[in-house]
Amino acid sequence: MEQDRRSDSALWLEATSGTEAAFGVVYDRYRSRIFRRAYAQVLNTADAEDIVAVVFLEAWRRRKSVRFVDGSLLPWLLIVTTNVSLNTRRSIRRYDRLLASVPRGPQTVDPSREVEERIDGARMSERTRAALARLTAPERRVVDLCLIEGIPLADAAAALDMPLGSVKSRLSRARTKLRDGLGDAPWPDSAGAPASGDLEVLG
Amino acid sequence: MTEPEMRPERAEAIRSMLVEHVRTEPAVRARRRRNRIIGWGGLGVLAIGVGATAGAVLLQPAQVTDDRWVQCLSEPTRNSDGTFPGSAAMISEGSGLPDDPIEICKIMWESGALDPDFDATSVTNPPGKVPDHLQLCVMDDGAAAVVPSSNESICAALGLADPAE
Repeated sequence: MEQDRRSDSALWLEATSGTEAAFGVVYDRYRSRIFRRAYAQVLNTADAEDIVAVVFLEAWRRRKSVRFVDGSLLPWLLIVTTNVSLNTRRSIRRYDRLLASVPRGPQTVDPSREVEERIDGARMSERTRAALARLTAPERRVVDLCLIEGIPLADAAAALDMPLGSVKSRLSRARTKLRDGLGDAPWPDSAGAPASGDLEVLG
Repeated sequence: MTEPEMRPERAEAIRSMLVEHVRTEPAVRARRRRNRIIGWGGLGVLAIGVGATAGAVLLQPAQVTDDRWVQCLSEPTRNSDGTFPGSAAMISEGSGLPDDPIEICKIMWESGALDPDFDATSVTNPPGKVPDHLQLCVMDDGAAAVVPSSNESICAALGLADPAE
């Protein structure tokens, strides 16, 4: 499929001025990224798909207050993904009727689970999950953006509408908590180098 | 490494639901209704037209006070029901879009969204052509309206205010 070269902000302009197809292009552009972020938190395909739907419904509901970073909607969408994932049930309740129109499908064995043991970079171990669970929601948003997604600090600050210094201090507190939670073994549990350069920030 | 992915059929179902929701969401319909009301109101005043007082109020130059919306007109006329042909563009904070309403409407024209053959449900519309002349007017709710016309009196002709210096 040909890549649509229009910027997110141009697409958003079109979508909010009555061109619903432009909203579909934004969805196509980011649904996979949002899904993976959601899946990493809920470890269930159908639930993560619901979260994707809710993230885009929220984006539309809050379309007057979305924030672009260098013309990109992704950092803001990732923040919404974290918020929705942290409170899935309440977030989904608002859109019960709409979600009912997209049935979850048969409950089959999740094939992703079969390879769980082999995926240690993008997936989080129980230990890591427990360490993350100790973070406050604001800390979690910064960790998700900066450490997991690798969004630059300045971009994260813009997306969160916070001063850069506040993002740094929040990240520092989160690092300390994560270090305490993970002990000597950094991220992930297994020995060896971190799977991503982003994780070096933890050290 | 295998990344988890959405199931294609559900991804498509969610896409359809979202696009339909955006198309029919009550707030959007309310906005369209509001535009109709504004349009009818303007038409009524135009019909009275000769009323000097109403005319004076209408034609008074005005500041753009609502920068959240820009009405990009596709023609220098009103519809038969008094509404404006074209699209109301919503401006999100930090979007990186220009502050100038005319520049915003140029983007809309370039996208083809203001062309008569534009299909709002298609992602493959051809690019459009920006008119040679675009003029800034001010709607009675303080939003900017950008009209494709070289006529310097077009704002008054449409029952809109000229922008204040």
